[in-house]
Amino acid sequence: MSDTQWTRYYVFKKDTEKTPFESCGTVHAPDAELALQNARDVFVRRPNCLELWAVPADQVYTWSGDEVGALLESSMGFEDEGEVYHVFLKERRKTQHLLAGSVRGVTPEHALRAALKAFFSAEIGVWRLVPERAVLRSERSEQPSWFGPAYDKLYRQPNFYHTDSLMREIRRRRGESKPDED
Amino acid sequence: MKTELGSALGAYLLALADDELILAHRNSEWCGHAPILEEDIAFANLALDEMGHALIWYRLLADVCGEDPDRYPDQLVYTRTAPEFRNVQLVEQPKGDWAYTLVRQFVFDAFEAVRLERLVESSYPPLAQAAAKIQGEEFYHLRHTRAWVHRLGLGTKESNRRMQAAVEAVWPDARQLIAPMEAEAPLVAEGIVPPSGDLEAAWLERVRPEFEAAELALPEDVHPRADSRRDHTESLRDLLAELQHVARAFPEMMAW
Amino acid sequence: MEAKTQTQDSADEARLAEFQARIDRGEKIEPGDWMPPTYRRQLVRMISQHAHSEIVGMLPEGGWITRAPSLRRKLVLLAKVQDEAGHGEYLYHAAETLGATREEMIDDLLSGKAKYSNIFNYPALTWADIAIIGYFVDGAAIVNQTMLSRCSYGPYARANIRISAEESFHMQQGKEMVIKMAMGEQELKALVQDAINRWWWPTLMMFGLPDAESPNSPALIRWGIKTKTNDELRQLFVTRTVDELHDLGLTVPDPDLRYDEESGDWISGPIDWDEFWRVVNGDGPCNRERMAARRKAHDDGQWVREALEAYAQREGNGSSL
Repeated sequence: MSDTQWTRYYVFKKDTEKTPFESCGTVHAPDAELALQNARDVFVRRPNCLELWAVPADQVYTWSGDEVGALLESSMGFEDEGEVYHVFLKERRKTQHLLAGSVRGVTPEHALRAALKAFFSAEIGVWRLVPERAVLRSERSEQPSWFGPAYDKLYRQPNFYHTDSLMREIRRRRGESKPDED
Repeated sequence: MKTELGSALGAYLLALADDELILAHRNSEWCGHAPILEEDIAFANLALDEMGHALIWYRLLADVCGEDPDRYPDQLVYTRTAPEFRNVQLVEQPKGDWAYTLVRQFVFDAFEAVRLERLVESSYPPLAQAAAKIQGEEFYHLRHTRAWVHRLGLGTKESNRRMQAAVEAVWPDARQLIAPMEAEAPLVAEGIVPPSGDLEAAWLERVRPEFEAAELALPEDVHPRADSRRDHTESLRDLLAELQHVARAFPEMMAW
Repeated sequence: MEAKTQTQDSADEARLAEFQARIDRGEKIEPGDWMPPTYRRQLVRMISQHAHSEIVGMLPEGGWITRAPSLRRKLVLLAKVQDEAGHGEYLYHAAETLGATREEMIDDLLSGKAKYSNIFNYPALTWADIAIIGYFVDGAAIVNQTMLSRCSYGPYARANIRISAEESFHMQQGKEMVIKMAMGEQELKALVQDAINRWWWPTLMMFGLPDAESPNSPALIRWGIKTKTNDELRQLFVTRTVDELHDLGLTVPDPDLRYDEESGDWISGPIDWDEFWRVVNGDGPCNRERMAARRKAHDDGQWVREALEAYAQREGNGSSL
C-alpha cells in the first residue's frame, strides 16, 4: 500500500428518524477509527445526521440489476439463515441507494438470494449488501458532539447572506431615480 | 455584577477568547497545505469550532462590559495592538511542522477539557452555559487529537523523533496555561471560575498516559518563558500584521 | 492487435446500442456496468480534472483566511475552502469507481500531466478578488455542476448533487460582498471594479472552448454527460451576471458587449483564446506557485502518511484508539 492509497470505506448516513439510511459515498482511511472520523468530516458538515456508518469496501457486496435477474427463480424458495446483511437498493432511473431492510445469509450470495426474495423489482438497478459485523457506527449518545456542531454553522447555508434583499433594494432605488418616460 | 468583579471577569473572558482566536488563526494556516486531504478537512473543522468558541467568549465579554456583542468582538480582534492581547505564548508560536501543530493542539484541548469541566459549574449562569456549549464540541476535538498523537508517536522512527521534538518545544510554553490569571482571585472566591493552578493535576492525568502510550517523554521541571499573559513574542507581531491589515485599511468591512 | 471477429463486432455493437438505450431511458450507469471505453476514458479525465480543480482552487482563497477583515468573513472563508477540499474528496472517489487510483491522480497532478481549471492560475491580489471569486467563479461552477447533477454516470451525478447543495453559499457570500463594495465608498467601488476587470474574461473561459472547437461535446451530450454545450452555459452565465452588475453600477471590461433585444441576452465580444492556451500550457501568472504549493504539501506530508500506514499495518486496521 503506497502512502496515498489508503483503504476505502463506504459511508452510510441516516439523516432523520423518518428517512432511511442512504449510501453517501466513500472515504479513504488508514484504520477504522479514522475512517469514522473522516466520514464525519467529509459527509456531515451540515445538518442533519442521526447516525453514521463506515464499512471497509471489501466487505460491501454489490450486484447490478441485470446480473441478479438470472438468480431470481432460484431465490423464491430460499430460507433466511446466518448473519445479518443490510440491503441497500437503487432504482435504475433514480440516483440514491436507500436502505430497504435486512436479511440473513450464511454467505453474501445467500444473503443476495434472501434479498431478492424479499425486495425484488425489475426497477432495481443496484443491489448493495453490507454485513452487520463489518459496520463501524457512531454512537447515538455522541450525536451532540459528533453532529451537533454542524447545526450551529449557519454560515454554510445560502440564506445566511442578504443578497436577495440587497439587490431588491438596489433595483428599487434605481427604479425611483430613473427619469419618467414621456 | 459589581464593577470590580465585572472587570475581573472581563479580563478572564478576554484571555479565554484570545487563546481560542490565536490558536484558530494558526490552525487555519494549514488550509490547503495539510499532509493529506482528509486531514485538511478535519483540521479546518477544528479551526472553525475554535473561532466559534472565541466568538462565544468575546460576546459574553461584551455582555459583561455593556458593549454591543455584534460589534465588540471585531473591535477587539482587529484594533488592539500586540501588547493588549491576553493569549498564552503557546498559541501565537508559528505552526511549525505537523508534529508541533498536533502536539500543541492535543495539549491545549486536554487543558481546555479540564477547565471546561469546572466552568460548567460556574456560579455565574451565562458562563456555565457558554462552557457547556463549547464542551460538546471539545469532546470530538480530543478524540481526534488523541488518535493522531497515538498514531504519530508509534508510527515510524521518524514520526516519533518529530513528535518528541514537538513535545519538548510545546511543553514549557504550555505550562503557562496553569499560571493564575491576573485578577482571578475575586472570581475564584465567588465560585465563578476555578483556580488555574488547581487544574494542573487533572491536566497531567489526561496528558501523561497518552504520551506514555505513544512512547513520548514529557520533559520534567520546565518553565514557560512568559511571566504573564501581557508578555508576547514577535510571532504575535507578525500574526497581527497579517490578521489586521485589511480591516485597518477598510474599517467598514469589520461590520461585514 | 488481432482484428476482432465479426461476432465480436456485432456483440460490441449490440452492447453499445443497449448502453445508448439505457441512457435514453434515463437510467443511471453505475460502476460495474458495461460502458464503451471512450465513455470511461472521458469521464476519468473530466472527473479527475474537476477534483484537481477543487484542490488547487483552495490555494488562491486559502491564503486570505488569515487576512479576512471580520470574524464573520474569517469563518465564512474557512468554511468555503474546507468545502472545496470536501468536494475534491467526493470527486476523487467518483473517479476511483472507474478504476483510477488516488496515487495515480495525485502523481499526474504534481507532475503537470493532469490539467485543472485554468481559473486558479490567476492571482488573488486584494480582498475584492475574494468577493469576485465567490460571485464569478463559484457562480460559473454552479451553472456547470447543476447540469452535471443530472449526468448519466451515477457516482458523478451523486457527487455533483452534493457539491451543488454546498456550493450555493459559496456564490452568495461573494455576491453579498460585491454588493456591499459596489454600494460603498468610491475607493471600495473602484477596488471591486478592478477585480472584475481582471477576473471577467478568465471566468468566461471556465466554460471551455467554443462549441465549434469542442470535438468531444456531441458524444458527451449523446451519452448524457452534458446536457448543454459550452457556449450555451457561457451565455446563461453572461446574461444573468451582466444584468446584476449593471444594477450595481459596475461594468464588464468588454467594449464589444451588446444587448440582443430578441433573445434578451447580453452578447460578449471575442474571447482571447491565445491567453487561454498560454495559461493552460503552464505559462500563466500562478501556475508555478500553485504546483509548488501542492508539491510542498505532498512532500512535507510524506512522513505523516508513512507513519499512519506503519501504524495501520501493525495494529491490523482494527484500532479503536
